[in-house]
Amino acid sequence: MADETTYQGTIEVPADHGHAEKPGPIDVSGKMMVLTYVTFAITAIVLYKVAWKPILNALDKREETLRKAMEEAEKTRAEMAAIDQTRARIIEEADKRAREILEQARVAAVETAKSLESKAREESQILLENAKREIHAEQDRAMANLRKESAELAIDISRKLIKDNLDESRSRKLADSLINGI
Amino acid sequence: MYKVADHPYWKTPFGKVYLDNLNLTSHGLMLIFASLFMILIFGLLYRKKDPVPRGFTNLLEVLILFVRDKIAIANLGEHDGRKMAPLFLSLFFFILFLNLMGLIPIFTSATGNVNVTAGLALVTLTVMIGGAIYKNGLMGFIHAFIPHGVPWPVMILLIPIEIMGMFIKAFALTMRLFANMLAGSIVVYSIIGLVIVFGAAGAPSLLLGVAIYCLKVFVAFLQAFVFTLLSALFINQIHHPAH
Repeated sequence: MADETTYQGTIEVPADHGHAEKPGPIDVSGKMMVLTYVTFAITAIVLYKVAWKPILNALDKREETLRKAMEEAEKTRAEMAAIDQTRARIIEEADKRAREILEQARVAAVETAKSLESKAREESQILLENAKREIHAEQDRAMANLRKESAELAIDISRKLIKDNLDESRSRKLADSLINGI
Repeated sequence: MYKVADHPYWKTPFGKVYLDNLNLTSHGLMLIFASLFMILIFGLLYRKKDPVPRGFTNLLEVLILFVRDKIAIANLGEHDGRKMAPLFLSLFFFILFLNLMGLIPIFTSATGNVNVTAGLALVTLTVMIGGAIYKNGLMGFIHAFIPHGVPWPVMILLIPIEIMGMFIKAFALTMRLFANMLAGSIVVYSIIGLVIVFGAAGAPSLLLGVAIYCLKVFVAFLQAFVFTLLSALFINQIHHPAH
């Protein structure tokens, strides 16, 4: 049964007058306080078990997952940037190498051409020298032959002229000395 | 007037249900309803398994996160805040449900009853005292009332004030919630009463009534927030004495 003192009305209500046991909102009732306290305590304990704990855990887990996913994304992005950088570096290096090789090839080609040219010049020089030498030798030989021929001719002519005046060896000696004297 | 005061019966469209036999009043019944609604909504309707919250769950989650981050963690710090978040969640939603039930025709707002708000403030007071003793020990708790660097004659004055302050904080919580909710009910009641007093000439006041009603929806959330926030603030103050 309701406590008489609890439901003593303190606010007179025109629309609802006539009821003796009308509890007002400002009446202090220990029973109501305890009821509130106990109801809240039970509710809080039940909700802690069935709601707050799983809900908050799920929230924490989701936050953790999100944080991890974002970190992962950040890491992946950094990795991609690093890969990009590496790729750019490799391309640049390759480009440099190619340019170097090209330059080397060009230098080598120029050198080869130069050496080939100088070698050819040398060889032609040698050939020229040889030819000159041969010409000289040929010329000398021809001159010697000419001298011999002319000497023999002279001997024949002088023999015909002198008619066995002199023996052949003496006249040859004479002719040789004459030839050398020319 | 049914909405404003407590009654030994529950008024439904199908007649009055007398609660005397159960040793209950209408506000007491509302407390039990609120409790059941909360268990129903958070225990059963809230889809905890969903990796991505949708619809109603999403709405509740916003409030849960708000209470956890902006009330519990903001005032009590990362560790204590997370540990005590369930208490503040219960407190916030319990008050919110009681407030909002006052806006639904067949229910009344139990938070318009000073005993209910006193009961809730007692919860805060219990956590204040119990938590402080648990954290700092009985001596630590008592030391919290003794201000440092004050000559002893002043202490005679200050210590009772400090002790009274603790109870006054709880009392302020009680009165703030109670007065706000009761005032809302009385204002709506008075404005609608104009129609009854003046007949058709008072009809425009219904618009005002609707406006006040909308305001009450806002106040329901605001007061639940204020009560929870101040509870967190007071609990933190006494758990971590400044000196």
